[in-house]
Amino acid sequence: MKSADGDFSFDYLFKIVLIGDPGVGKTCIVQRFKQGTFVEKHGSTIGVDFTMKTLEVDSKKIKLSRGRKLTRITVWDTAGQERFRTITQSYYRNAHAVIITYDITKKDSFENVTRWTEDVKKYAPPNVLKLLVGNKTDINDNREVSLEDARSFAANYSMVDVLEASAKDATNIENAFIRVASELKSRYENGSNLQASVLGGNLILDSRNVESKWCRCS
Amino acid sequence: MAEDDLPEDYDVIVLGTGFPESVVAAALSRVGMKVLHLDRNDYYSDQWATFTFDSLVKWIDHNQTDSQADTEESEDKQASNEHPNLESGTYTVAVPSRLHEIKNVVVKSYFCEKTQGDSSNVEEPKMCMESAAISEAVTNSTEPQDKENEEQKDASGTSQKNLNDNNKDASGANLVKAEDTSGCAVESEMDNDNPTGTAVSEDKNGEVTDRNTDSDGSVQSSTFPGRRVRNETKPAIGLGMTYDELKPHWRRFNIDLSPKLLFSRGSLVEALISANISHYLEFKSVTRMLTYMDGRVEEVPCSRADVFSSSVISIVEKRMLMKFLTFCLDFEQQQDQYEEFEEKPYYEFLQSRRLTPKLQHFIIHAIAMVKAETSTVEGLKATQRFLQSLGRYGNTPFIWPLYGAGELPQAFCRMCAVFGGLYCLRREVSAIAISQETKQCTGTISNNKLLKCKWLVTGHSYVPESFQKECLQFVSRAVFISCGSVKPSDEEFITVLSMPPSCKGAEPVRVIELGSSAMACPKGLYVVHLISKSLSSAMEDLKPTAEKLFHIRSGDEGDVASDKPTVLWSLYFNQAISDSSCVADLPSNMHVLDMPGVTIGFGEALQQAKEVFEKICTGEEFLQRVPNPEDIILDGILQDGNQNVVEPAGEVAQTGETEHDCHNDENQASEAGPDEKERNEASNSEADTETQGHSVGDAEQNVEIADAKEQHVEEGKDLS
Repeated sequence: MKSADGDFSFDYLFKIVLIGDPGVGKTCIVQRFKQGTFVEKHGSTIGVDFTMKTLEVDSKKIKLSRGRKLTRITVWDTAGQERFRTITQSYYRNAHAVIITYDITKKDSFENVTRWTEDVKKYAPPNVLKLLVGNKTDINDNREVSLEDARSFAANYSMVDVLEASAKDATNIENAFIRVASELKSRYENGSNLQASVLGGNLILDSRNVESKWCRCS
Repeated sequence: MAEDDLPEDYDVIVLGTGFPESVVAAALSRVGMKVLHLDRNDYYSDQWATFTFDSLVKWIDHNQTDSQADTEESEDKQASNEHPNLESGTYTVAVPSRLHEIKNVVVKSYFCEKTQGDSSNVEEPKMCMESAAISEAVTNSTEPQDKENEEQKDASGTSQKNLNDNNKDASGANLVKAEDTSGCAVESEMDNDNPTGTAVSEDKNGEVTDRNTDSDGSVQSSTFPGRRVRNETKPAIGLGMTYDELKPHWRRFNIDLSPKLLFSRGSLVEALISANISHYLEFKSVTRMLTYMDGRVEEVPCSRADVFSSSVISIVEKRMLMKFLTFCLDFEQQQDQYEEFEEKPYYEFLQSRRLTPKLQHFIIHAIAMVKAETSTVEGLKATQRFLQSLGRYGNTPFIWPLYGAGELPQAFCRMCAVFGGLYCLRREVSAIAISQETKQCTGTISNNKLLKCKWLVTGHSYVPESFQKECLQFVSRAVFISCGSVKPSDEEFITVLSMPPSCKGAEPVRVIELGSSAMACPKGLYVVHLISKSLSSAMEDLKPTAEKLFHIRSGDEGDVASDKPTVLWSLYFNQAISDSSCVADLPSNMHVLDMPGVTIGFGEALQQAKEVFEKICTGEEFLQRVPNPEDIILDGILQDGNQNVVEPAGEVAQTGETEHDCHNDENQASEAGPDEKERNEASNSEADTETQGHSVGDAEQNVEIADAKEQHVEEGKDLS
């Protein structure tokens, strides 16, 4: 969504959207990823639009160095609109990746992944990358969905991977995003840069305004 | 997930997800109102929706069968009028399940005929029923070639995307419908998806009459499986294509019911920016302004550069035009120059300035987009508005929302949801509850449950009949899928074309032409909208214009070669125009928002939304800025959110105000988040993530990672 005005010190910009049944922990995942915190109890999501984080994703060099390639991801939460399956189509527009989330202790939420996948098929860009994430491994005792089932499902739907995670104890949360980001990066590394949409003449209104915000401390 | 667990109490219930309704919902939610937003449709944006081809066909079907279903349904409603949990002293007024906003829906299809029985092999050349069409097809990437491509695709497509597609379709088949045998690549859909499809398209091409409309709507709507369409360009797009060949591309269409443009410096652009939600949307500049003059489509010189490079006008005219346009930019300062014409027709004023007929045409029809009889003051204002928006994002004053105007209501719906607005589509509202004593609306009845509210905001189609007067005005709309541009060129443009009234008393027709770059359709095709105020049915109003612009195949006269673009498919309909004269005796806490109407921009609707917002929240800021992601107060707002749900309905005004105050504080606090704190936070999170073995950048990341957490937690406590 943003351009390469040179003011940005990241090389890639990816939009990742989260979907999945209410209560599977989407917001907790975002919060854990973003802030490294976990809030045990809260209702449906309010006030969370999307979050941004910049990562260095490179399979060869993990060390920080100047002149490195940075990947900025924006992670979009559903804003509670999944509650009655009323996510707007525009939520999916231009998404590079979708993280479909279920709760490993709730079989329903896994079964509904099918329906979420249909939505992705309908509304997301055709080449969108899909990652399946089973949340709440911290309460493994109540598990209702096996990793094998999830694996075979993910394979059937040509998802890039399936990960089991816990927003509560931080298992695999960072990994999930890194996994998506590196996959996307390798996909776009050769040629088709993400600025394509900007080069194609698409306008984001008043980019300067947004930009100045973004670059406040650079 | 599907069970009905809507809470019962709201500050505001909004019915219908049209543009102004959505704006009001967003603005109210933003200042802390508890909003429930319902729509009876299974899609967002109501009369402002943008449809893929298959969903448009459903919509057509729905609106063609309208009249019969209507009477029965309203009877049902009367019968089911006893509601369980109504308070005493309250009565209900039925909400019509459908209104008569859409009428005269006519679909015409001019696709080539497919030869009998070729469901899976497309080898034999299909015959276009019109002989000339074939010769045209040759010039325009020939059919046999197309078919070869398709064949190759069938073969290679499978191997290429073997893994993906096979897997997907194998398992997809059980979910969607058991119509694909596993292993069939997507290409096979166009062949065996819809066995009845072949029959329909034959029928359709056989005779081009109104009869087609029926077969069209009913058959297709029942058979669409909801397929994903691939990115790569499919073969066979163009002149010689059959209806079935269009099918794999259905999802790549984004066809507006009520296409609207944004003035680059108009109020909506400003609102999107100031509310900080412009990143929900993408736009493209309208790249070409055209007008129809002396039987030809001509480019309108609108920018300074255009004026000088135009080949349509002489050098003398160029000077005149520049002078006049410069005057218009600040005409208010030179009142003496137009004073005596103020209320006289614009064309008289232009004549008095000795502008040539050609320049008058440009100014009246294509720049001001008014009628010759429009008053001078109105004309000047319209001209000025046009000029002011030039040059901000491009050469014309307009920008077009990618994926259609239907994206705009959705952006505001998301904003509303982000601040706790609750959304439910496919949700009928059967009645409105009104207090006998105060005559105020106390809630709505949906699924036999009373949902209480302090204010009710509705789209026009949810207004109970007893509050309604007949809408007498309509917009005539037509949509064409054509094989070429109304003014062919090597480039692809997003075009606005002005068609002056064909005779005195007629209405001007506005044409918007969208191609693949506007995400309106697959490459090679164009979606062309015709819009005018109705004098009669849409078809009668717009067909003459269509005939000027398009080559429309007709069975009996044989096909003549034409330099105009060929129409493959067309839709005509009338859409009601609503205004305050269409409603009466409304409860004082109920507000009705209008239908899209004939205007070219969103300005009027935005203004109306603002007025409604201000009636409900007097003195509050309209569409207050959404904090940037780095300022998001996760903990605080989440707790606030919880509280929102449980909190019993307090005294109306008070609740609104206190809540709003809280939000205000939050925002100010978060925006003014002290740098130092941010940095601390940043380094904390960095350390945190690094321990997990992933490096996170420094410096410029601070801004996203940072947000004054402790502060927010505190606020959260305050709120609860």
